[in-house]
Amino acid sequence: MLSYDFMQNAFIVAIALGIILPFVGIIVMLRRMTFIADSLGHINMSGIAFAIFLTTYFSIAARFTILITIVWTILGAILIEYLRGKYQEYKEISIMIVYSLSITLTMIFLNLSLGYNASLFNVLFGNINAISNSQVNIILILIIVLIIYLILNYKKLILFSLEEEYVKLYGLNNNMLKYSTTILIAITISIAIKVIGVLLVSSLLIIPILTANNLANNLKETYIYALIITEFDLIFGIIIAYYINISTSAIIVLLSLVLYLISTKFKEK
Amino acid sequence: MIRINDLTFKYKEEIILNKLNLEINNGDFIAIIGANGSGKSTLLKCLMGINKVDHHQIEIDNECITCFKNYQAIGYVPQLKTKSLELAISGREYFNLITKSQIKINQVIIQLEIQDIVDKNINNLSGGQIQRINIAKALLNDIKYLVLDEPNTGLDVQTRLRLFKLLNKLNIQGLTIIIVSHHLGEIKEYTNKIFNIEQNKLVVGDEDA
Repeated sequence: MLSYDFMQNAFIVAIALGIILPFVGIIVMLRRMTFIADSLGHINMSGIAFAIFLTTYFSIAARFTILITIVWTILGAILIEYLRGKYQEYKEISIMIVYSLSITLTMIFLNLSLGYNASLFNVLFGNINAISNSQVNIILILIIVLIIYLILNYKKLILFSLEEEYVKLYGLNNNMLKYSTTILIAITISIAIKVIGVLLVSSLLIIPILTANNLANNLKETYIYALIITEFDLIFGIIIAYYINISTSAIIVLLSLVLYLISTKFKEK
Repeated sequence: MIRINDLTFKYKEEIILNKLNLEINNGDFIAIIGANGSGKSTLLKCLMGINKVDHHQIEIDNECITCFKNYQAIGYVPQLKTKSLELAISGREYFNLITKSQIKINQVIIQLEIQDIVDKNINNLSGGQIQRINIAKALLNDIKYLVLDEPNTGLDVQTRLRLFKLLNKLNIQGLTIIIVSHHLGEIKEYTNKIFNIEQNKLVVGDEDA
């Protein structure tokens, strides 16, 4: 299995992604933004459609698909934050607006593009085996940058996520942290979508955190358990899917759901 | 010292606070009372710079609110919340997010007598225990003012008394305490000022009114 390039790439991306996913999942849970993961997935999808549209007219754009979609997703994430600030009382409105805009743009860009393109199917359901060598390099560089950023700033990010409104009282800058967490989430989701697809990305982000929270007594334990669970889901998901020839993302999320069900038996609270 | 001068605050054209005047001196233990929806929490948010107001309407330590930068001098204890889903976190983890100083953390743990609960998951603690962890969090910064939003809600009589005695002790040590509440209860005997937000006047300790 490991003699194939595409399988090596799959494992490298999965293992690297598994390190940052639990941390981002914790932030998303603490900030009560679980639906945002879903919205960002849809923004990412319109980004792919935009890249396909660009490729139709400028073939060079094909080389930069992943970067185009990441920048596109970051812009969408900033739009969500802006709208969340504007509709303080009804924060879910921002998600609805962005969601509608994403689907509409996806349809328009695809209509303007020529012919059928398989990458949209991959965006919806994920295809870890379709990640090329050059994409692996970009993804690894991005993940390393994110890990360094998280190591240097995790205390500020967690404190902000816990006490967003009052973070000023701890001498921190609310706006800077708001946009940096949003960009962090946007980049992570853009990478995760390559593996798991738009439809299941929030599952991979959130279910391992819920499972870990059933077992943990503090935040550090939650991260460690979620890290082990996410890596387990990703690695065994890829292996099982390879042998039984069923979609990898489906197996990954199925595994995470099974572990969640088992964890509820251990829940003491 | 905090001085509130003709403070008016509107939200979507509705007047929430109408020309409030209040002076809080250093060392005061003040209760701000009023019915639900009377603007108590709005006032707290104005004091903490979360709700934006005109610069002259609030002065803290002789600085107008827009010039005031030292928000770390204000500690805030939020209202107890009952949430159905919350991630596990211990008090000590929370403290480590706020300060690097282990000396300060240990000092506050001893001061508030929370040695036995500081490493437990906050979500499994009782209301009174959570309040003590919240006060400890606020004390980790070198604060001058401690602001508490409805601290007596959801606590039994004994726990309330224990909490008020703790606040009284902190007040004697020099901390200015500002409590917001819709009913006074036992806290009355510890305060030196009571401000009724609906009548816009001090009903106890009104030497300045």
